[in-house]
Amino acid sequence: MMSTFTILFAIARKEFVDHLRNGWIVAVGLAFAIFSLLITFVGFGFTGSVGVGQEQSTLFSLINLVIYLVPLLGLLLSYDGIAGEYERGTLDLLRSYPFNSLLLLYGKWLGLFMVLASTLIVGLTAPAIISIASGHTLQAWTVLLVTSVWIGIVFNSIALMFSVLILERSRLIAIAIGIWLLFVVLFDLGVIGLLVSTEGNVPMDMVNLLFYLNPTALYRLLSIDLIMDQTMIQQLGLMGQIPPTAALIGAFFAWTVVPVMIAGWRLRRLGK
Amino acid sequence: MSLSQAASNADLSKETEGTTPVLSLSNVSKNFPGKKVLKSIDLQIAPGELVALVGNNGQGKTTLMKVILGLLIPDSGEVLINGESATSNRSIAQKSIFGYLPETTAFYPNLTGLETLHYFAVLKQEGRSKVLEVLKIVGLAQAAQYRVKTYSKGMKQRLGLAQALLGKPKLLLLDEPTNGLDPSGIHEFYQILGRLKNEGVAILMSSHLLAEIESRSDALALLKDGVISANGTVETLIRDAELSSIIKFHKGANFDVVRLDELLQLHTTEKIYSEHTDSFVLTCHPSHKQALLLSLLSADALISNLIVNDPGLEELFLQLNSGLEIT
Repeated sequence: MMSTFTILFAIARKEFVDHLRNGWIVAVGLAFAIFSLLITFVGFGFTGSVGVGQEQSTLFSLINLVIYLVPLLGLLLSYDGIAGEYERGTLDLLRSYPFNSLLLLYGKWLGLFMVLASTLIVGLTAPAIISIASGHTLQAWTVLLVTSVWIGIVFNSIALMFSVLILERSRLIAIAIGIWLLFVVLFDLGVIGLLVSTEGNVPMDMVNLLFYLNPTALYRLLSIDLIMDQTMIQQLGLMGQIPPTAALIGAFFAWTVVPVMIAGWRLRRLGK
Repeated sequence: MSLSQAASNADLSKETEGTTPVLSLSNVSKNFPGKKVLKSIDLQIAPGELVALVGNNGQGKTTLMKVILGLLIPDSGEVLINGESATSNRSIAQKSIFGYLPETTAFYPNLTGLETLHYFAVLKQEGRSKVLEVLKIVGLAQAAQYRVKTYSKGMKQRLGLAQALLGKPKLLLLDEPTNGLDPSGIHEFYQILGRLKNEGVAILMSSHLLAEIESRSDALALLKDGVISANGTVETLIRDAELSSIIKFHKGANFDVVRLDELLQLHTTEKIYSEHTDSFVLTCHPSHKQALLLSLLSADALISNLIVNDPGLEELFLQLNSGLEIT
């Protein structure tokens, strides 16, 4: 049991050190920080003074920034997680080592989680400090960080799943961009198209059900539910429309775990 | 029990242990979609034995190694590791006897050689002190602090060998291990293998460098079209293949072409004359070789500067690959 954890953490640590050394965490974290700082200052600029409403609109803008950027970061970070080992020749080597090969997948996942969390901490700390120094709450920023890391992790899991299923980096990069387009751009357009074409005659339950099929939609709802105040939710026209928090968290959890389970199933079957 | 009895018992137990092959394959087949890569492979490797796996590209050498390691599951047949069945997923205990060097491994460019080996050592549940030991063995101790991206091909190959040596392997599977090594590296590499053999480590090694294998392997397995078409010691295989020797000589002081022809006719051998070097070349079947040489040498000053080229592994390999199989 002890050796299982030692192996798991060794794999996670290696993944983290690799991304720290190749500059990923610092470069991407700083790029994200610049975007989020811009949004924070634009947010300040709109109201001219620091107030509760202004913080809410800044957070709302940041949620949208996260929806655009973080899934892409998660996908680009993880698409070659297993395929990279395969092409490097280390996947076969490690599969011949005396430990359960699933630990490689779980260790990777854990390491990539650490990389993504560190990147977003780098990216969100500066605006959070500015906002908190202006008298705003730490709580909202903490929740934003946690949900943002989580949406990234969901896309880490999805990318790792494809990484095991496809094992070919050149195809995986196209798949990663395709997944981003599908969930971040096309899905919303599809829902809007559906609503327009049916002139809004779609039961709200069905629309909610559609949201469960898209982790970024779940993230938007969950973040609004947990971070926005009632006035903001009303302004967004979402009062009474957000599914129960537990259901959102449950669906989010499923989106995190199921792809890793599929990846594990495939990894165990390699060579058959 | 007397001392001599004890000694003979010890010998007996050693012999009994020695007869259980570390690896035994019987009737192993593996198909890929549309292609039979391995067809009914039988192979055994005893402790301390170095078996060279040879064959042209695409004949299934790497596939065979992957089947042994459990990276590919065979469609039929049996794999025994230390006498225990290991045909489906390997147990951790069965995996722990392997040391594997894949054909090409790029490793992790941002880690140093030392960090790379520490990582692999943890994954093999091996102590850190062993890392320094294997680094010294493969001659990478000086370069251990540099990142792997600065390593040459040969240094990466040494790093690969170092990781294969971690964890006290009982069976080394080396896929073209001397690729990228310089001549002194190859020499050191075989010295390392020699020491491991003495410690009882069984080795299966694939290579294209026949000259290098010829004198260093205990047995040879030639893989062709998915079957082992020849298996045995190099000497036995060459003898059984009845490969011809090449005999070259110049004219002697008493050279007489009629006499030479008569002599060759007796031994059913034909000559080729090279005008350029003013010499003769004979291709001689092994059953005639001794008698022919005796006749040539005892004929007074008929010939001079006699050179005999006996067939080696390269000739054997070429013949086996030309389709003439040895039974």
